[in-house]
Amino acid sequence: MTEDRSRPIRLLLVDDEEDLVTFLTHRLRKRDIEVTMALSGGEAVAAAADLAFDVAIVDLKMPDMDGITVMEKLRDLQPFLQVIMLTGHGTHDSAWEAGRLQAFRYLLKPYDFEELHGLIVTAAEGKRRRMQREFDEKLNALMSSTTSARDIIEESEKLRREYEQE
Amino acid sequence: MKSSDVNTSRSDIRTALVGHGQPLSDLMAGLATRQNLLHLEIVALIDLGPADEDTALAHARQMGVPLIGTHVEDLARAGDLDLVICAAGNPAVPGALRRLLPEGASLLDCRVQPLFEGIIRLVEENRALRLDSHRLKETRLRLNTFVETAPLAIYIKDTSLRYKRMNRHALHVLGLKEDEVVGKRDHAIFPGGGARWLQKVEQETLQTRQTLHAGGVLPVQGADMHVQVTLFPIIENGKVEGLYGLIEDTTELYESELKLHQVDERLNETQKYLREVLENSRDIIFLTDPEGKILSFNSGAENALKFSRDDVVGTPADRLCTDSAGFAKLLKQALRDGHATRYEAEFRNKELHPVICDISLTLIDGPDGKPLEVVCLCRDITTRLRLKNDLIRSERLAAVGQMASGVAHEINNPLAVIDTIAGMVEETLEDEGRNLDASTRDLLANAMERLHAQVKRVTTITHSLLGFVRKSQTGMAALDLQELLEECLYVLGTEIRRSRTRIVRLYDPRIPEFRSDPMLLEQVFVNLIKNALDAMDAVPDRDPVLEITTSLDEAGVVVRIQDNGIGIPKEEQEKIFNLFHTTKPAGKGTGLGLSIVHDILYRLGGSVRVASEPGQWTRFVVELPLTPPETLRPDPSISAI
Repeated sequence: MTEDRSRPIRLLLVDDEEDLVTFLTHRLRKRDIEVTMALSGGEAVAAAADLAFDVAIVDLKMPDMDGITVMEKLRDLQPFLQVIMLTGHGTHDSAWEAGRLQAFRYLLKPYDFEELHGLIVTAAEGKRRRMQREFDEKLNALMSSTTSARDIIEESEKLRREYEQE
Repeated sequence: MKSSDVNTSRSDIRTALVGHGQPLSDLMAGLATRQNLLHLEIVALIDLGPADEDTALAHARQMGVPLIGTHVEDLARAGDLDLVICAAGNPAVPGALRRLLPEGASLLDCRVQPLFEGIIRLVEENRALRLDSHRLKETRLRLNTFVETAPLAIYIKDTSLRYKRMNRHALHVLGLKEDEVVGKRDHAIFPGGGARWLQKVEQETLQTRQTLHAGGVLPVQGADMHVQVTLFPIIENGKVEGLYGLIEDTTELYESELKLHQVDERLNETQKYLREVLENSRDIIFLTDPEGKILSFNSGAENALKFSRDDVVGTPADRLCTDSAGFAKLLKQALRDGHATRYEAEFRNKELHPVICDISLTLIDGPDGKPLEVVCLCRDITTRLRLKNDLIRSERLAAVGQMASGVAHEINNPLAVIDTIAGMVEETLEDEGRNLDASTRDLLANAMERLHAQVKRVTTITHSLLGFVRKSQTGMAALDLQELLEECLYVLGTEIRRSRTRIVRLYDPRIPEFRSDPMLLEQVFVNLIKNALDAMDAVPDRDPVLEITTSLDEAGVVVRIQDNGIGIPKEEQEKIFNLFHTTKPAGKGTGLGLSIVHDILYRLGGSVRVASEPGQWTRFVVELPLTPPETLRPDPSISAI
């Protein structure tokens, strides 16, 4: 976990605006972010089934499914995934809904690239912190409930594999 | 006199003659010729000095009158007599006769009175007497028949208040039998002293000898019978002998009167209730006469129009209306059709403020069918109307907002692409620029910077269209109004300095810190000050002065922002808070500013209004509550989305 800090941030970028996805990916990759592109909600969910991400940038309004639904489906697959909701629309209600589902942030298009980059980094760090915390908690629980050292080692290895997500 | 005598010789007077000697002879001689004329039936003769071949005896024989004796005492043998005529020279005879005179008979002393004159008078008297007695008998008979058969309840009591008689009708009415009544007193007939009141009045009748009336209740066959009695004293020969009582069963009358009374009472109560309802109604209700003069004015009217009753009663009602001719017309219509209605008519209250009312006039006709008065019922809809106008504006804002946010979304997406590409080109330029010559690199760098700037400009518009009120940073916090205003002036510092605007600050030091949304309020004041600067820019030959005043009142804080700029035409003043309405030349204003100001203040529980003298000045007045609403009011521009 902590040793993974050097590992590049894995980002899922979901927007039906192909130009935006293309050029934003280009710019983010230049900043050493591993970007997986998705042009629809369906594509995004399929990608998340294969690959673990730190952060997802999701457009709120897409033809096949709305951003909130996408966020819910992604969260089902990867509970620690941090989502930045991106929209050109931004109604009060969808912002509130995004907040309820704990989107990391809600950003209005056109965004400031530097702000977006900063958010991605913060989100990824937050995600890793949360995972670490949960890993530690479960490990502690394991230590106090399991008796044999061998069990502890076996179980903790299981946990490590689960939380290293690869 | 016996009744049979009345029948056989109705008018003859049974007469005995008593006397002696010459006087008797003279009498007999006189009577012999006048006997019939005088209607005398001479039935007996007593000759006190009889002699053979006495003249008197000869007359008697001739007239067929029997000689019944020669002594005064023989009179007893004469039988029934009406009259004894004495014709004796001896003065002791009349005296003796008077003592022996049978009952009902008169004595005529020929020695004292001239004979025939006396007889004639007696005869007349006697006749009249008999006639009266006869009439009396007949009257009694008729009265008895009447009493018995009349459809009136009549009774007769003696002086000890025992019933002597009760007629058939009375027995029927009181449910009694004759033998239960006659000879008895009331307490034996009406149980429980139920007739005590009657006895009291009867006593009074006997004592005062007056006809009296009384009313009361008699217990008859287990039920209360309401009766009216009339009591007549029976007076005979100056002596009270008893009384007549006339009873009238008034139970039905009493009950219907009682019902009538109850109906009356209910009617009174209903009227009272109605009066109170009218009086205490919050609606404006007043009455006028057919000429439109105010007759009454309820408290609702007093409250709404601020006039007291004394101010207006007696004055023409149309004076209350802004359009008094219109009211007069309405009144005419009501007089013609019985009813007239007008919506959104304008009254003017005592302070000359308009009060908008729906008016309904109803004509009330008098009992004679002529117009009596007109009821004017007016509902004050000023507040409702204002709310309606607010709602219309809000709805319009919402509709426009919905459309605008859709448009903004369409713009924002490509804008994001443009900005991303621009950033990428910029970065590429930085990384790879050394391969270009300096002037080309500078040109491209400058071009990219301008591209960013233009994107920002469009972004400002679309973001204000969308999210002006919904910035994520907004939130309630304690704020210092003076500090906030200074911050706004600082933000606009460049423009203020450029235009050489003089700022006059009149800050009320009493204003405490209060909770509101500082970010939103900054938007409000920046917008308003920016507007002011633009308005003063439009009058280049005048030194721009911006006056910012704060004050405290019961409702909260008041901020006035006044400029000496171009002003706002009257017809524009109402519209300036509408979305996309702008007074600025095309390209300079988005038309969003004041509608945002309006919406923000509405959400924060405050308000904004404008006053302006075109060409002279404009003043915006912002009011804010010291305590914000529990929850922000819904944003009217998004509530419908």
